[in-house]
Amino acid sequence: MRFIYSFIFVIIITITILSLVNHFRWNRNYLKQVRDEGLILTQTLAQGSMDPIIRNDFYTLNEYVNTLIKKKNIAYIVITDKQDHVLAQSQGALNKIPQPINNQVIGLNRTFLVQTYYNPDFKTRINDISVPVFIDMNKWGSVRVGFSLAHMHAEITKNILVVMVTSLISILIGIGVALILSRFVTEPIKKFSRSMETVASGNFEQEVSIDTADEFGLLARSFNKMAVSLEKNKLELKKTYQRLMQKEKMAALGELTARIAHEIKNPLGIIKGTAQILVDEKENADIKLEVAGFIIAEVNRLDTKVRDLLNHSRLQSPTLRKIDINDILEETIHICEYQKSAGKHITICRNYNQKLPPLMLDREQIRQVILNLLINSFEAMPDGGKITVATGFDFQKEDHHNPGDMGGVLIEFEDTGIGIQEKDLSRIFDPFFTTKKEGTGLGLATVNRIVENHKGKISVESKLGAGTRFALHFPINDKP
Amino acid sequence: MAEKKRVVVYIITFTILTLLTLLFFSTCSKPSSTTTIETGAPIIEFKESVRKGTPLYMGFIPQGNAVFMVKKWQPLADYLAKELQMPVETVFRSSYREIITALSKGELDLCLTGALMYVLTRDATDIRPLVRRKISGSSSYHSIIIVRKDSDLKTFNDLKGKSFAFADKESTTGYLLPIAMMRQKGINDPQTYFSKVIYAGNPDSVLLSVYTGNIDGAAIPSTRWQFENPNVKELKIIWKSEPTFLGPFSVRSGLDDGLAARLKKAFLKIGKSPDTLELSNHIQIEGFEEAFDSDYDSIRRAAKWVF
Repeated sequence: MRFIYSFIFVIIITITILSLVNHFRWNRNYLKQVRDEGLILTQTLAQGSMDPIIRNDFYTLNEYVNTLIKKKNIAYIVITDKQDHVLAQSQGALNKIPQPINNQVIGLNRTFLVQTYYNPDFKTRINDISVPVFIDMNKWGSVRVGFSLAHMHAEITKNILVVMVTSLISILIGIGVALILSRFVTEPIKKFSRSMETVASGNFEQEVSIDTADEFGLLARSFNKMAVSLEKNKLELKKTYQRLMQKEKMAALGELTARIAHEIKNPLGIIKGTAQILVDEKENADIKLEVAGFIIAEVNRLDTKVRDLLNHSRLQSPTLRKIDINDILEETIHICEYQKSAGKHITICRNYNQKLPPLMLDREQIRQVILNLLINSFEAMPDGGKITVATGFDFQKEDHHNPGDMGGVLIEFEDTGIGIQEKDLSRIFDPFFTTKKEGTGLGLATVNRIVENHKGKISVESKLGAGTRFALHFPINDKP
Repeated sequence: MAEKKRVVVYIITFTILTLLTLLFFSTCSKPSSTTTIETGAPIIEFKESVRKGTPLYMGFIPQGNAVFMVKKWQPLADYLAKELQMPVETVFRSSYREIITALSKGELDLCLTGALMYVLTRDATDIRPLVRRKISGSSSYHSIIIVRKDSDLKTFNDLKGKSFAFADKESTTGYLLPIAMMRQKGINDPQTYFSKVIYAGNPDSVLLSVYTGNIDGAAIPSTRWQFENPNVKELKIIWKSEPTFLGPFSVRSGLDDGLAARLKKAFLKIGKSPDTLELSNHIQIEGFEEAFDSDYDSIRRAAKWVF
């Protein structure tokens, strides 16, 4: 569109410059032409008047004058003898000629004299052309004709109007044609653009409806073919993906079962061993007591693990209520500060955006998410450090094409702890994966599930020895 | 969309500005009060001497085209101006009557007239004859009646019922002598004798009207017949009058006698000295002789009889 407008603009400038230049050239040429024609007419009259001028033939000269004065562009005619006495003149001609203009003609000894001046009597400019009558260097008189330029000025004004109107019409036609042409060119492009956007967003069933025989039609047919083939590929990909998912799920289940078995097998082994000691040891009651304590401890550990596992697997779907994320953050941090930071030099920086809207979240589950993340951070900083908690709007580009989407809220937890090894980063959200001696490996897995249940996203960045940063994204959505 | 609107506004604004500019320039080209002057090449040898002193006005009877007459007689005026040391202006008019009027009003100091015209004017204004012309070895001439060679007209009598042209009613050879001849023949009214009678003004026009066939016969002075005129070759003479003296240069009665004497002296020199030969050739006059009023007595008698 911009191209077409600049094109129109250039055309207008060109037309304007051309018409201005033409206008001035035309004016100059016209003036010159009028002057030349006047001069020729006056010279012809002078030549033809020679005989009557010599003979002082007033009758013939008056005939000439009265015949010529009827021409519409002739204002006056004066014919004088050698002493510049009037031989013949049109009605009151001499009274209408200003004195300075008149004086120029007295004693004229040049082949002609053209004076262009404004005549108040005729209310127009006049080309006053005088031609003396000479025979063998003897002056016999002169013929003088005043040509009114009113007609010429009217003609020039008409010309300007014609130029203006033609320019205007051509400009309008130009704009019209350009707009129509642009429709032919830009409309298909717009259609393509829309279809491509739809295709880009994953809907391959979009068809471009251009059925012309030109290049656009060709392109549209190729595009539609491509869309169909993409759709086919997409379906295949989906199937493959589903198969893969199934396999992964089975694998994950297998791994999970193995881990649970492993987790349970260890205490069971200890319990079995110590129970054997109880069977073998019949006399020493002290030892028996001690061994029984072992068994109870191991059973307790087992109990904790099973409870955590149950908690994790029984995680209910969230009960959404409007809550202020800053409030719940502050509340949870408050609890943590008392319980966990005792004896450690840990500072917690808060960087809240107070303008955040309330979010639809499950209060208890979100509290647990915050708690788990904070506890991880505390544990990652045994020698103290700094935790930064920040909230803010999250304007990710990919969300923007979705109309009605109001963006999201971003919650960040950043610590200066020991960090996570790169090879572990992809597994930290897996159940039972832990790098801690006392961990069940279910903390982050639970966090992940809760966030996912809220249609949120979690991401992690970490650098070994420098710290870890968790980012939570929740969509802003008024509807529950 | 907003950008589109903005561009459209730009275009409209620009168009309006353009039209305004054009209007502005068009109003600029409307009448202004300045005067521009443009002149042609100067006429370098322009003679301004005419304006110094009181000029002597020299008139001529009409003898055809005025430009031709100016070219013919101006050298004589220049010669006289040099001889008399005073400006001499030539005066030409359309008819004999106008010249006579100018003479009687004293507007002309010197005038070339025909013989009859001298006689008529002399009665009215008491002009004095100064010199008479000498052409082709003779100071006399006659009236001739001409017709086309290819016509079957052989004598004047054949012209009865035909069209006829005179030069001017004041012309000697172009009117008086032919009319006198017709009176002798008993033709009192030429208007009824001929089918049509015109007065063409000067002998050249008369000759031309016969040459073109518009008029069957015409009277002209024999001096015109002798000139190098290609038209003459197709014409023939069917009547010839008795010779009469060529018309004189006369001066008005009030002109200073000394000036008149000097004028006569200057005229008589023409054709007799080497430096006047060129002038003599130019005006086709071999020389001048002193003229007397009695030279024109025969004309006077004819005029009395005719008028």
